[in-house]
Amino acid sequence: MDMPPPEARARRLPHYTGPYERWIFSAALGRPFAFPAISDGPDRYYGALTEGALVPARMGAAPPNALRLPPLWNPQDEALAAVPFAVHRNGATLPEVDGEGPAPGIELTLSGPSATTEGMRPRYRVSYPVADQSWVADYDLHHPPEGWVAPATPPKVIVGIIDDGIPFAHRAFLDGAGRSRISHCWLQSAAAPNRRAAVPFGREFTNAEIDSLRAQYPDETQLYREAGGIDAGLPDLGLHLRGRASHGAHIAGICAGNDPRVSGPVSGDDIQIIAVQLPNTVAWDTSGFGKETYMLSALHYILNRARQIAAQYPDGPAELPLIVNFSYGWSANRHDGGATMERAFQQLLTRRKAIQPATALNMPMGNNFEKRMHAQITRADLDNDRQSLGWWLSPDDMTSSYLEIWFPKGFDPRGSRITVQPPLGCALDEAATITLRRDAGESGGGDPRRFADVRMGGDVIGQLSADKHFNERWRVLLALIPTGYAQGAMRRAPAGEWRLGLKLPGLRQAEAVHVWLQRDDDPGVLRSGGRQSHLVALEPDANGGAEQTEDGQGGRGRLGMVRGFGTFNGISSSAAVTRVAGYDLSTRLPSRYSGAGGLRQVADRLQPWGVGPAFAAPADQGQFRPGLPSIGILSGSGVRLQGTSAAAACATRWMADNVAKGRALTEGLDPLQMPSDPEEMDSRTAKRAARLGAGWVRW
Amino acid sequence: MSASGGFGGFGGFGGFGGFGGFGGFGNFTGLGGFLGAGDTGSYDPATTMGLLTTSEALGQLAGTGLPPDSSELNMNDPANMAGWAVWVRGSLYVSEFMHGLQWQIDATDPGHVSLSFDGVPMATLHRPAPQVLQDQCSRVRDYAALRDERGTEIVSQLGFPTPYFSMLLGLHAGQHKHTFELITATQVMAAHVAMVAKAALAVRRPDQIDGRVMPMLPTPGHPAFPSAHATEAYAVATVLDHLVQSWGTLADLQARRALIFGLAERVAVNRTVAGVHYPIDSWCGAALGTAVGKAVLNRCGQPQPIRAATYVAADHDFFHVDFSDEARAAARGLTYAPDGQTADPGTGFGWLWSKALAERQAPAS
Repeated sequence: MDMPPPEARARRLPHYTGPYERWIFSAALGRPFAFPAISDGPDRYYGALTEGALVPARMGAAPPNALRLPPLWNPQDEALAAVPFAVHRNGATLPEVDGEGPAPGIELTLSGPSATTEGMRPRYRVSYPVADQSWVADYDLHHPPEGWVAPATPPKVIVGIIDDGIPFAHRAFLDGAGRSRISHCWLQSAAAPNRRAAVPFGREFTNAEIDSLRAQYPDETQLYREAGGIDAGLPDLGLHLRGRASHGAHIAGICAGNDPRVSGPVSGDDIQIIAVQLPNTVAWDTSGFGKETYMLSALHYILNRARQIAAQYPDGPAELPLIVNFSYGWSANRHDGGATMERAFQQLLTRRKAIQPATALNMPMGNNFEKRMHAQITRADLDNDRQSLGWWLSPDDMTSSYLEIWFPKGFDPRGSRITVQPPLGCALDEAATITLRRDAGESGGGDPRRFADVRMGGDVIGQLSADKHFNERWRVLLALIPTGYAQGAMRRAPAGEWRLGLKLPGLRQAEAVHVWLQRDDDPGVLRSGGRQSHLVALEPDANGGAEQTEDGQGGRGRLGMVRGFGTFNGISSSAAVTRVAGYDLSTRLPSRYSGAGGLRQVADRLQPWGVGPAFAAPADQGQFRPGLPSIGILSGSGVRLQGTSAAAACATRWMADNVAKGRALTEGLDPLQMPSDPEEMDSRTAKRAARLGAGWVRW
Repeated sequence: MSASGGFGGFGGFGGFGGFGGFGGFGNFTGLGGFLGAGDTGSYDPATTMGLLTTSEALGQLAGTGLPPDSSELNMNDPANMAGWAVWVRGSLYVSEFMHGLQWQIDATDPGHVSLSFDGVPMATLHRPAPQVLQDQCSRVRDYAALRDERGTEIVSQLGFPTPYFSMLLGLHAGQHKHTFELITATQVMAAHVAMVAKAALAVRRPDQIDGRVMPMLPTPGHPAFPSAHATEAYAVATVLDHLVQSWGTLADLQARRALIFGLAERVAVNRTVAGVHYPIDSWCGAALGTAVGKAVLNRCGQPQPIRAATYVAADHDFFHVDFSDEARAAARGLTYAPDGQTADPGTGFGWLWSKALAERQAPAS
């Protein structure tokens, strides 16, 4: 069921090509190194996302263009800060324009009065393709999900899980009578079923369907294969569930599984589960590009199905308590709640909390505290308006590397300039420099932006761009191609220490410029060949030190320009999101990798900026027992994984248990002692708070 | 079956000190796991010299008369088996089994090899088409994703994966030495039969067709189709499946049977994960191994009809679920004759079966 044709007086909904879209969709830039679904393109079906408030029902497409909305949670039919959707043109292969992807060939419309609450004209971005086999031929948004039965025990709380490799048939999720507590599970990249379906792509499984699969197939690997959960022909699904362990299995087990390996309170029969399995390659492109459609539609799906469950119990509330666990993140981004996803999260959570206060979206702080992936530059760090910074790229990195520089809101860009130099012994064909202003030739609407190619030996090896995101904050993005000859390309970027020269005459006393790197490691199962880059402090900073001298455990060490404080999950900074840090159960110290809130020096004190962790939950059993044990993919198997993802999952289990037992969401937190007067807060306490938040989840 | 001569590793297991896998092939004795087991060899030089001088000193104490009259052993009596060295029994098993094996390639229609046992048709295996091998290479590459987590398991299964079967059934060297001997005998028979089929069909390994396969093991020195690991694993599974039912002492019998075949599947698939076998090699090996297992059981005096299998490979992945369901198997190229025939019992295998059967754990009757 695609959207009906547009009304007569509809106006055009413009598409927008940001710096990541330009990089990913340009053959001469980053496209050859993007995940296979993009680099192999063009395709027939694409995921897309609107930005700027609009009412989804007012979107339309001029035939033969068509758009398809996934199940959304929007009970009042209000304008949404972002709408995930899919586009196609009668199922034909969409021609692509180099540098812009398929977007120019798609004509979408918007009718009704323009909503201006976001202060930005609505637009959309096209991102990641949907595989042909995953496209549901007979999609009916209102079709009741096949094989769903009302849970025998009325749920007191619902746990939502968004992750990879969800072992939906695992016995850890059965209730006391042997029925699955997984009420709904959406495999976004599975092959579509040959029947009417209530999801636009992929495949939805429901509780009674899971029970009958379990009864039919005692061999779980066979079950997943027969059910379409394992398919080597679909790279975004693949053989994930054929393996021993997955991130999703580990996390789902801690969130809501009952298994000897999982500690914490029993997840009772009154706790139902709604799960979404994202495409495998959600972790491929380290920019995070393109997955927003999948991620945001996953959250909408969970909210939507939770409302359907609540509707089965007329005496109950319109919305049931819901804890959604989304153990995923990006490392770069605005970090101020202003990213598209963050605006959408904020809006959805605020609106749902107004109906059901026991609503939470738990996300991990991230694992980058010690990875030197963030730098914070203030006026005091400048010498003659200048500072420089090293960016070390590993040899044999087979994916693109990304560095983002974010300027404060209201920053005076006049005279500011970013210059890029390759490692010693290499020379660019021409100086790579960018200033913060709209390119004279860039008149097509959208955010002010300009681009410069980085060339060496006649090859394009990078893109330097400046864009004023949502016309609010300037960002400079430096994207570089792999340092090894990847994907048959005859060009590469040199590995080693690149140098960034920052000239910032407009930087005021209380302001800071932040540098963040995107995560760039290899999640193993994908064999992307990514390798993590890091920042290098070159010049003495305001404190006279060049290296990262902070004491992550809350000591009195001074903070260098390159610092772990400020390395938190870049899609988690909405105020309404519950950010979870990790701690070590044996020492109660923050896990050494656990991301931290930002700190700035004001006179002789450290003060937090932006959002920090809500609290800390277990992530490690001890120094010699790193990580937490949980379930593997097959019933009876187990695995130990380390990271704040597991901490977020512990928080989810704890909060769900609290609600099920009639307590407040975060009742029983072991509080971190803070001075009653913020003026009294010393550096040590400020650091501990930035890493642990309000305290420890008791375990 | 070992991929490379001399890859032992199970030395000291049970009574077969010096398992040796197919290391025996180095000497062409064909005894595989039995080679050298119980072979006394010679003493060290000092002991030999000591024995000589001692014998000269003590010989006069026994007098100088004629040798005494003594009783004879019964001729061709299975009861004698217990007294022979393990490797001698191994040699007897091989001889007893192999005299029944015949194979032929039809000169007028050379695309397949047919194997029979005591004249009973076992299997007709068709050589896979080049296109099928080509298609299968991409499956082999897909399976490489599992090397990370199965690597240790795969390397430990280069020889016969007996400890894995042992794990499933609670076998102990002291309590189940004849069961181990039955397993080894079955593996050795299966390996011989697999080599016959492999040599006849001469199918190149995946890494000899597609350079991207890059296996995690040395390329074996024998052809791919059928997989000897699959043949051996399914032969052992067939024999053990019958043995545990005959024991009748395991309360969770159905679960054990499922585990036995689950392991056979996993051992077979692991070779695809390693990059040395196509999934169709597992199909072919499983079919052949099942027939070998039944042939062994017949020699053991357990009449099991052998139904002739015909395998025409098409591009399919291998799963025990598909293999064990005849309709699903047929849809994937494996069919069976409607009826089967039994083969002859043998003295050596009959003795071995009676001993293994007695290793059931039950109160003394």
